[in-house]
Amino acid sequence: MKDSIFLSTPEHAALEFELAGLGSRFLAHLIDLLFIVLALVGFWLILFLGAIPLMSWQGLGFGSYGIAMMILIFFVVMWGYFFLIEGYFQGITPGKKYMGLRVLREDGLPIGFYESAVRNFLRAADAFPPPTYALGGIVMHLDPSGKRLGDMVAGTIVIRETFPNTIETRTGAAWVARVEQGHSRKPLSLPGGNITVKQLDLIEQYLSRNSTFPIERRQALAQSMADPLWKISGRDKPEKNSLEDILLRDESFLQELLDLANEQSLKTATTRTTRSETTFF
Amino acid sequence: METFEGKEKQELWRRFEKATERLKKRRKKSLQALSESELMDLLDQYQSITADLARARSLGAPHTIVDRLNRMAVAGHIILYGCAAKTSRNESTRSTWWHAFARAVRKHIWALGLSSILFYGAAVVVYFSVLNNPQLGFDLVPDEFLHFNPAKEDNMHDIPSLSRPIAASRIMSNNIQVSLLAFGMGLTAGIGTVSILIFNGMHLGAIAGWFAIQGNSRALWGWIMPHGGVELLAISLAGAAGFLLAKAIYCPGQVSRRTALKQIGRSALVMEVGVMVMLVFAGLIEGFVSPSAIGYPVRIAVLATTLTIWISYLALAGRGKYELGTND
Repeated sequence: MKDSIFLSTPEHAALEFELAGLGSRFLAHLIDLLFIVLALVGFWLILFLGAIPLMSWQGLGFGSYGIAMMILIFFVVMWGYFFLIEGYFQGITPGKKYMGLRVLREDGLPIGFYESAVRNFLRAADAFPPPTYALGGIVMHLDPSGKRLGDMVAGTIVIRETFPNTIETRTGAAWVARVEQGHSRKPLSLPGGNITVKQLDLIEQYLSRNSTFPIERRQALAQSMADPLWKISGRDKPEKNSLEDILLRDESFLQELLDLANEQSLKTATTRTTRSETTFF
Repeated sequence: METFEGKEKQELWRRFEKATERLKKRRKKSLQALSESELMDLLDQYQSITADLARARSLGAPHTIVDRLNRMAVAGHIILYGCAAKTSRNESTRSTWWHAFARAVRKHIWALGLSSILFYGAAVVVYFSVLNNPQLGFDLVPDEFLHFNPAKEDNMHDIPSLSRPIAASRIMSNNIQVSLLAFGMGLTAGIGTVSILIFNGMHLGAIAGWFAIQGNSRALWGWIMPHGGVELLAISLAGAAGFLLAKAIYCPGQVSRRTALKQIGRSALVMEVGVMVMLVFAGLIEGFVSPSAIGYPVRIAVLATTLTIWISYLALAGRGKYELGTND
């Protein structure tokens, strides 16, 4: 099975989904089993508590109807838990929520009760020989998009939903905007010298990933990049004491330089367009 | 144009993210609440996001940027297309769900035939084997039936009316579980379904043969008749649902096995859900009517009525205008 799959939308954009692995799905299932037990106990308790006033009112015992209800509740919870919860919450159960998983249709849309019914009523085959899920596990391992048998018939995949929000809107948008305008970056000339294109690219790379580093590493990287540039920029480096302050100073300085570079290269690009517009043909 | 171009895009990304966050929360009728201009704005934003994504990916943007755009595009895709898919799906299934069961059974009548042959075939073979060779009974008949003394001449069990609800609910959940098993095991290329059908048929045949030897046939059939017609039909249908899946594995036709499974999935599910409904009815009769003191003629009447109702439903429901152009 692959790590991720691409789905093509009607706009011909390829959406990438990270597929859930065997381990996280297994853990999610265990958590759901725990919830099934909890739900069962909860419903039975409600049944008992609800029956008490009836018993005292009518002088009846808990009796055969009570036991019949217990049996029905057991059955409905065992088979209905996944079907109802996955169908209603569009592919999420408590266990999946905890593990950051979600069931999705193959076309990338949320599932409904139909898909939920198919993939969960077919658990009997996947769980074979019960309760090992050996058959489902083998099939899932061999399938390129990690489907168990129920997923194949329902046309669903299980994806990982949470990945950290790693990038600032600012750097991301700037990158795309610059590429969209179809011009490459130019060296940034400052009073004390030039900052090369390579350096600017490095700054951009750093700023787009900085939130993924541990704070000490992040500070060291920012400082090593910023230190030689203070002199070139002809500005004074404000003295800071704490780690956070130094980091903030260096990063906002780097961001400023990057914005400046973007602005400068854009200005030359826009002046060119303006000129061609005013001269008509 | 003095402003830095990236700012406009930044603004667009932020607005789109805010909009999708907001719409995700009102998931039931997210798009209906928007005004026309808001919707058009959302569409425009979505289109430029997907364009940005394609650009970023093909020009080798840092992975973080691609991830970010991908996430925005997925959110937009779910909100915009999820809404369309939901409405069209509901309209097509809701009106015909009840008819779909009967239509699926009629269309795939071969599957019902196959599972009936396996089930009743095994029952008949074992029945006559036990009659001819009574020692077999000790191997095949479950212990609780070996030394069974029927309660009455017309009735095998006489469950006291107090414990009838328990019997009904136990029978129901047990039968539905077996039907789900027969359905799901279709995915083992039908092997599991075949063994479940044959095993249950043998069980029935062995008990029937054993009781015939003991001279208790009347009590057994009197007991089985009121609920048995529907119940045995339902079990055969559950096997048939399993065989639909198995057929997609054995002979998928022009498409891949995977696609064939997906295409047949809806019919198979409809059949299984119908089976569950039938088993609830049968379970109620088995819990409340079969163990009661009614006589043999009434039992035959119940059998005839229930079977007539279900068979005429399966044969007639949804005939005519829906029949053409549906693919279940």
